[in-house]
Amino acid sequence: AASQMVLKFAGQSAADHPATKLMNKIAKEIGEKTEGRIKVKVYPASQLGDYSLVYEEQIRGTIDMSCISVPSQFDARMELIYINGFASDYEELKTVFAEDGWMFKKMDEFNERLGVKLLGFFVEGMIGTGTTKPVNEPLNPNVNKGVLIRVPGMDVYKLAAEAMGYNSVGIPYADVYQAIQTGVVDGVNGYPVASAYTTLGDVLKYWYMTNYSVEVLNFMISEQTWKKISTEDQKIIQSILSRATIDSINKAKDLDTEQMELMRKKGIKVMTYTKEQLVPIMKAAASTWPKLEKNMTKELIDEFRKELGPK
Amino acid sequence: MIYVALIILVLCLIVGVPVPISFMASGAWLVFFGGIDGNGYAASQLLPYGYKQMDSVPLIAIALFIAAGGIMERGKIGQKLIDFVDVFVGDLKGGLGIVATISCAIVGSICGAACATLSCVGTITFPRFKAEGYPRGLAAALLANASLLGLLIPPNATLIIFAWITGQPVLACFLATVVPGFMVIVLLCLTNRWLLRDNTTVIVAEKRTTPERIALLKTRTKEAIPSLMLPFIVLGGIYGGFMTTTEASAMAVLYAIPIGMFVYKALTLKGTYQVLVESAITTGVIMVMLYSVAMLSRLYLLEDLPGVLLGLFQSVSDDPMVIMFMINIFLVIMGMLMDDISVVVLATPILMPIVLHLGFNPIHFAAIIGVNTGLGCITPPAAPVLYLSGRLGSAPINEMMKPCMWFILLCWIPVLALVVFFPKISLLLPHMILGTPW
Amino acid sequence: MPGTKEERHSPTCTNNSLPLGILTADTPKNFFDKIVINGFSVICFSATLSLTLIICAAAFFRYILNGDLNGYEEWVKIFAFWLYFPAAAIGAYNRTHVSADLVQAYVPDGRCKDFLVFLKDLITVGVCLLFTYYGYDFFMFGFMGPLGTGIALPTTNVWRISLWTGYLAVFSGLIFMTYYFSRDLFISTRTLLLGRKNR
Ligand code: NA
Ligand code: NA
Repeated sequence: AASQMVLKFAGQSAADHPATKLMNKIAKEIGEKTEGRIKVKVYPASQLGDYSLVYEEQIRGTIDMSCISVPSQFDARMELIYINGFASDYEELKTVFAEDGWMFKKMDEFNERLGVKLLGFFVEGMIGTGTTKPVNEPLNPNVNKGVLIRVPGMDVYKLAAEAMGYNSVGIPYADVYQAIQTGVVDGVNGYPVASAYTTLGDVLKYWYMTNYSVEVLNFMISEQTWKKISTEDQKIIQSILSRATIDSINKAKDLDTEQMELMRKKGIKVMTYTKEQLVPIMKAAASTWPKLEKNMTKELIDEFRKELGPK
Repeated sequence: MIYVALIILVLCLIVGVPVPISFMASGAWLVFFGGIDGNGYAASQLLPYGYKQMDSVPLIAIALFIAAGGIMERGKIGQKLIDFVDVFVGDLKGGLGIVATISCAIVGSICGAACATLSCVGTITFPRFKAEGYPRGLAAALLANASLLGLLIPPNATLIIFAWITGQPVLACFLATVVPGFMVIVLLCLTNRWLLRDNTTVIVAEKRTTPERIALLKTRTKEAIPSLMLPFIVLGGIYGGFMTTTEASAMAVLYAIPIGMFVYKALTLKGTYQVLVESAITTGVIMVMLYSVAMLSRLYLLEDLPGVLLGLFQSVSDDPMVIMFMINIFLVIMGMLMDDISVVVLATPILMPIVLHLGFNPIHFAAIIGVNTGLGCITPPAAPVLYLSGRLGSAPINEMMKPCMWFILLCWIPVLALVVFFPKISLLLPHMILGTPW
Repeated sequence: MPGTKEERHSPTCTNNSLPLGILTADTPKNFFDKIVINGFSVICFSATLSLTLIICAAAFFRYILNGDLNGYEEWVKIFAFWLYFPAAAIGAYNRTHVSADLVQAYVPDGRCKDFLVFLKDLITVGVCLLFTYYGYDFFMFGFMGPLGTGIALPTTNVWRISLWTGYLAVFSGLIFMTYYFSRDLFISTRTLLLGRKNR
C-alpha cells in the first residue's frame, strides 16, 4: 500500500448522470483489478473545472484521468468529433466509434501530440433540437424553421443548424436556461437528450430527435500519469475502458429512449424519425463540411469525407 | 490541515491584509502543505482554474451595472427619480425618510450595490434632511439601512455572484429577495416614524393641496420620464424576455450616458471618462476577490471543507432547521467582520453543499444570503455602508449607533427570521413568475 | 521608489475602511505612476465602452436581424479581463482593495500598530509575489503552448483568438498589484524603523 497511486478522475456530468455512474464503476474496477495498487477518486459535475480546463490540466499532469468533451482550443482539428451529419442511427455508431476505427485513430493521434492518451469513448447518444414552440417542417432543410435557436460556440454546429433551416444565435452557456425561460431564444441545438432533459426539461416544450450529431465524451489519461503506471496495470486499465466504450455504445439507444420517455412524462412533445426520413437533414448538414476546411485543414476534411461521408 | 488554512485566513483578515490576498495566503498554505499526504497541490492548477471560472459573460453584468449606477449619480438621473417620489410622500410626517427609502428602492432597481445606491441617494437627500432639521444620526442611519435595498431589489451584484458560484438561475435568485425587500421598505418607514414620535425639531413640510400636487406631478413627471425609463428598460428587458441580464446591464449604460449628457446636461465627456474609470476600479476590486476565492474554494473542496463543517454542525444537532439557524448565526458573524461581497464569495461555496445536503431549496438560500449580506453591511465592527453614510451625512458614528440598532432590531432581524423560517416568502415570486419549484 | 513622498498619516485606514466604489481622487504625481495609472485608466475605459457596445450590438442583431454576431462572446470575455485586472492594479495604487482592517480601526497608534501594519504589508507582498510567479507560468502556458514550443497555442473556438491575450491581463495586473503593495511595504518598514514623524 506504500506505493499506492491515487488518480484524480474528473468528469463534467451531474452526479446522477449515466456517465458519472460509469465513471464510479470504472474507478471501482480499477481498484479491484489492480489489487489496490491504483486508487481512483471520481470528481463529477465539473468540480475540478470545465472540460477545457480539465483537458489542460491533463496536459500538465495535475489531473490524471477524465471523462469529458474534448476541447478544440489547442487544435481545431479535434472538432472532428463534433461534425454534424455523419451518422444518423445507433448501428452506425458502433462502427464509427470502434476502437480500431478511423475516428479513434485520428483523435488518439491529436491527443497524443498534446501529451494526453485517449483510452475510449463514452458514447452517450444522439443529439436533437429542443424548442418552446413548434418548428416548421422539421425534416425539410429548405423551409425556414421559424424559430431562433441557441447553438454551441463552434462552427460545426452553427453551419449545420443554418443548413437545416434554423436561425441560430450564440448565447453563453451559462445564460441558456434564462434565455429560453424568458423567450430571448426559442430553443437549443447541440444538446443530447439526457442533458436537455436534466438542465432544460423545465422550459422546453418540443423535442425533435433528428440525430444530426452525436454526444461523445472521451476517456483520457495524462501521458505523465500513464508513464508512471506499470505495463501490467496499463493493460488492466486499457481493457476496462475498452469494455466501457462498447458498453456505452450498446446502451446509448436505451439511454436516449429512456430520457425521451422522461421528457414525455414531463409534458414535452417528443418527435422521433426513421433513418430514411432523416436523409435530407443529414445531406444538408454534410453540405457544410467544405466550410470546415478553413480551421480544420482540407487534408483532414477530405479524409473524413472518404471515411465517414455518405457512401 | 484545513483548520490551519482557515486560521491563516482569519489572521490575515484581522491584521488587515486585503481580502483577496488573504484568500490567496490561505490557498498558498494548502498548495504547500495540503492534500491527503500533506504534500500539497500543484500550484499550476490555481490560476487557470480561477481564470476559467471568471471567463463568464454573466459576470460582466456586475461591471456594467456598477457603471450604470455611477452614470446615474453623476448624470442627475437619480435626482430626478427622487424628486418624482417626493411628489407623493414628501409632505407626510417623516416624509423625507419615506422619500429617501423609496428612492433607494427605485435607484436600487438599476444599481447592483448598496454603496452606489447610498452615494446616489445620499448626496441628494442629506442636504434636505439637514434643512428639515432631522437628527443627523438618525438621517445617516436611516439612509445606510435604506441603501441596502440596492442589494435586495434586483439587479444585485451579490446575487449575480451567488448564481455564478452555485450555478442557479440568476433570475430566480433576483426575485427571491424582492418580497423581503418590500418588507424592509415598510418596516424602515414605520420604524423611522416611531423614532421620530417625540421629536419636535423636524419641520414637516406643509401639506400640499390637491391642485399643487397635480401641478408638481406634471412638471416632475415630465422631467423624470427619461429616468424612469431606466428601471423599465432593465427590469422590463430582463423579465420581458428581450434581453439577458448582461445585455440589460449594457443597455442601461448605453441609455444612461446620452440621457445624462444631452437631456439632463449634467454629464461631460470628461465626467463620463471619470465615472467609467472609477466604476472599473470598483469592479476590478470585486473581480480580484472573485478570482481569488475561486482558486481557494477549489482547494477547500479538495480538502472537503463543506463535509468538515457539516460534521461540526451535526455534532450539535441533526435537525436541518437548527443547523440552518446555526448557519445564520455564522453568516451574521461573518457579516460583522466583512463586507457584503466578501461574505457572499466566501460563504456560498462552503455552505451551499451543506444547504443542499440538508434539503433546502437553493433559491430560498439565495434569499437568506441576500438578507444576511445586507445586514452585514451595517453591523460593526466592519460596517462599510454605515461608515460611508456617516461621512456623507456628516454624522459621528456614536450618534448613528442607537437608531441603527433600532433599525436592525425592528426591521432586519424580523425580516431575516421570516425569510429563514418561511421559505414561501422568498419562493413566492420565483414560483409565480418563473415556475421555480417550492 | 514611487510614492515615497506620502506621509505615514495619509493613513491606509481611512482609505481601506471606505466601501467599494468610493474613491479618493488620487492623481499620480511621479512620471512612472502617471504612465502606468493613466495607461491602465484608458484601458479600463475603453474596455467598458467596448463591452457595452458589443453586447448591445449582439442583442440588437438578434432582434432586428434575427441573426447573430458569430462568436462575439469570445471577444467580450477577453475585454472583460482587460477591464478587471488593470482596474485591480489601479485599486492597489489607490489602496481601495477591500480589507476588514480591524487593526487600523481598533489598535491605538504606536509601535505595536506600526508592527502590525508592517506585518500586513509584508504578508500582502509575499503572497502577491508568489501569485505573480504563478501568473508568469500561467501566461507562458498560453504564450508558448502546452508543449512549450510555440505550437498548439490555446485559442478560442470560433475566432481562434490566442488565449494568452487574456492571460496577459491577469499577469500584468498581478505584477502591478505587487508593485504598489511593495510601495506600501516600503512605507510601513520605514515607519517601523524610523518611527513616525510629526507625531
Ligand atoms: Na439592486
Ligand atoms: Na459588517
